[in-house]
Amino acid sequence: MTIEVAVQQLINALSLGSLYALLALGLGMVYSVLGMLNFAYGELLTVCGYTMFLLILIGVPFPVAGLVGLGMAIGVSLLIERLVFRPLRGASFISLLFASFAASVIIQNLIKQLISKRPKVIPVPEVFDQMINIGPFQINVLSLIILLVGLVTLAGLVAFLQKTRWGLAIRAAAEDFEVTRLMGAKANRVIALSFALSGFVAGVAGVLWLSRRGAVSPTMGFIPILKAFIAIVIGGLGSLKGAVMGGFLLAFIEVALMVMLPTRAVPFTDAFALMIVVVILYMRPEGLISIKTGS
Amino acid sequence: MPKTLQVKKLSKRFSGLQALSNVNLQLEKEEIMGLIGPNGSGKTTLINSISGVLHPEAGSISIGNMDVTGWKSDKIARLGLARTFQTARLFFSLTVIENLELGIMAASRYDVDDKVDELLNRFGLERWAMDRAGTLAYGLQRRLEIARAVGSNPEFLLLDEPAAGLNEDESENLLQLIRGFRDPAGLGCGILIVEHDLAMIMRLCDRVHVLNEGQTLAEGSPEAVRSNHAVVEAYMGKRYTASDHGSALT
Amino acid sequence: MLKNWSRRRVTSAFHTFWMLALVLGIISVAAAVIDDRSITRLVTDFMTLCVLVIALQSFIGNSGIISFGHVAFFGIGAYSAALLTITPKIKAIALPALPVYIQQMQVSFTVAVLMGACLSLLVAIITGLALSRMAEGAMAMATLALLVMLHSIFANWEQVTRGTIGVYGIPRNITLFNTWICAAVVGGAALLFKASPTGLCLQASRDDPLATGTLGVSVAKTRFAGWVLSAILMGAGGAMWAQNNLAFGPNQFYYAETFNLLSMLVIGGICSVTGAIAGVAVVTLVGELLRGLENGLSIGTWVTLPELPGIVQMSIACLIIVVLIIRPQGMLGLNELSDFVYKRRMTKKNT
Repeated sequence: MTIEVAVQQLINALSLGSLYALLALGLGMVYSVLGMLNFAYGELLTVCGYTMFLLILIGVPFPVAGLVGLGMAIGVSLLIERLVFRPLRGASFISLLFASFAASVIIQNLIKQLISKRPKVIPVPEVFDQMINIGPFQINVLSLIILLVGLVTLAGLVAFLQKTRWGLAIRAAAEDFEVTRLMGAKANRVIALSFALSGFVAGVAGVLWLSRRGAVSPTMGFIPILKAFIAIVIGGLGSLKGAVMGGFLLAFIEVALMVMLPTRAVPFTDAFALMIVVVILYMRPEGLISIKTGS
Repeated sequence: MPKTLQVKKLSKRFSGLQALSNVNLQLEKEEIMGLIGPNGSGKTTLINSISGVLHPEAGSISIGNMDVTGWKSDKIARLGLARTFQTARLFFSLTVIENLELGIMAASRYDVDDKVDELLNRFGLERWAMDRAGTLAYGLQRRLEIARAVGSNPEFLLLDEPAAGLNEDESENLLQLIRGFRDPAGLGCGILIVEHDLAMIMRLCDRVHVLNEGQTLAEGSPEAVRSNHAVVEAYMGKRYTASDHGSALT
Repeated sequence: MLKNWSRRRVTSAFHTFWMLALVLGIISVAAAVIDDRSITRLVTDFMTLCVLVIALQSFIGNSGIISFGHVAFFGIGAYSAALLTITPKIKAIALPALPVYIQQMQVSFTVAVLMGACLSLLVAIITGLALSRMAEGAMAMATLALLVMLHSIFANWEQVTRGTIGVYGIPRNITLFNTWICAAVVGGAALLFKASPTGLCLQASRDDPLATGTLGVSVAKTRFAGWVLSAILMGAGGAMWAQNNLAFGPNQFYYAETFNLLSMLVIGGICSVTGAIAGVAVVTLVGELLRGLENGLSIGTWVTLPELPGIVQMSIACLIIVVLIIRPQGMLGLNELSDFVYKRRMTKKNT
């Protein structure tokens, strides 16, 4: 492998990693505040995608459609919280998981019925497919955009969590689920905020995801939630830092496999990646960053 | 030779906080030892380390001639060590009988049904036998947890604040029960008990071990500990004079 | 070790067993008497689903850990039954790359079901060794990983599974009688496991894994046992299912089927074998009632409702949310059939 190829693959891995890190952060945010896995998280990307699809269909430019899609993801995230999870406050982990699973099926079916069962193509700006030369390296514009947007969003979120009062409230709640419970009436607002942020992240990730895929389908949310789920588990469930690290680690594993596996084994890339993840978890059952402290 | 539970130079830290440092402790069979100290002095951490729920960074724990440092909790329990928790940790969706069965099974030397009947009777839990543990009143839950812990006839029993939240009658009852566990005619086990109710500790224990900020402050008979300056200071602050000690600690 | 078995719990498991077997038996006999093709089909589908959901219950219900991976065992059972029961003639055309001895083999319903269970057992042992050591959340993720891994094998191992095209030509070996036997046996196995010392330890770890450990129970070993047992039952169910459905592809063992089976379990009550059967019954009934709507319905000659694809799935999803809000533990909660009879007898004694 030449140095050029290596650098390109590194950029690919970083770009994919920042996307996975975003996805994982959005899912991990709700997990760490409420102690629940929101399976309907993948559907936020779907909602964002279909909003963009419909807007582009009537001639709205791509960036504007992206922004509206982002807004929709936030809105739907808040709506799910209000309609499904708030009535179930205090229910067990497994009940909440099932409820989110059900919510995800409802959204998928609504899209199937109201829009279409079949995948639809979204025209992405042509510039995404072009290559630019930086020194001796040829780099795909989209990878670069994803990397930049991903990192900027991550930095923005970190700043929000570190520097603002609301960010502090979320971090306090994330430290310990009990804290969330003790917050009383304020808890509802903190939880809603975490869902809004989760929706925001899903929206950003959704726009980036679509730019890579160039198509929407009712079940498109499955892969992103799977990646996010894997990332937060490798990172250590409940740790926001771990979620980001897990995202990057997963991306590096995948890119490395794609480069190294022989052509015949390419269909099994996902299976191999998951096997590696399972081995990592076997050796570190708590994930990279364990949040367990004390008794 | 009777077994002893031995803790040597135990240290444990949590993200910067030294929860235990260099703690030595020895518990014989047929002995009740009180473990006292202000909040955050490391009492529960010590119990968690002995029972294998936490793993210490340094030091060793042995039961009889077996070094159990770093063992998992289930393996330690099978050696004959039982414990309760600060807040009753029952299996709330299971019935009283099923909770008791789980306590008995580890020993795997009793007919489970007979032993359950015996425990129900001894702890006065028959009326609630088929109820789910989660539906019991708090006092009963604590009683059930203790019954579950002694189900396997352990050689050592660690009790973490068993009297917390109990009324006077219930506490008195508990005290009699614990004395019965020590009695060679009963279980003959060595008991380590964490308790805030100092009057109870003074009446119950053969020896008392005092922790403060993760370190051993004193160890000895209840009388000796009661008149120890360092202990009184840790509990009451320095401005109290010697004459106040007695009343503060009884 | 027999000392650890509680006569109380084994007895009440036995009571539940015969009552459930009786109810399922009555359904089978009724279907045999009516002797209508679509009703027979409905009942064999129902029994097969009962086996699958009970298998799922025996792990999820007792351990309290969600598994997305069980549908993979379902798939393993189904594919092994397919490979063992399809006639050699069809196999020679459709799956020429199979080893000769498998190509020429053709076994009966019972052998196929047992083989499905065995193959599942093998995979369960390998995966269980890694899985049972993990923390709860990680384990749930790993089961999802298992689902995706096995799906990609089903979809890409063309010499054996024909990839995404799927297999066909499985003989319909299923009868009302043998599905009833399977459902009763699997139900009995799940009830017995629940009543066993290991089953009780697993239920304890559902409530509080840490406290379970301090009682001398190895939570990892217990979870391993539950995992393996339910995989065996799931594999058997998959083999039954294949011989009831005759042709299938890899996408039938994925996200949608996982949701389908889990929803039945949640609605009925994850902690109860009776609940698993009740959940299958309710979801099957709702499905039958709404199936008409899905294909578009004409009322009289004027009113025609439009086709509503996915209405069944959506209604079931809504039903889950409603059930979880009203009865978080599902319809049956923590109870088995015998609990109702037994408790009444207890209260009579006391008064």
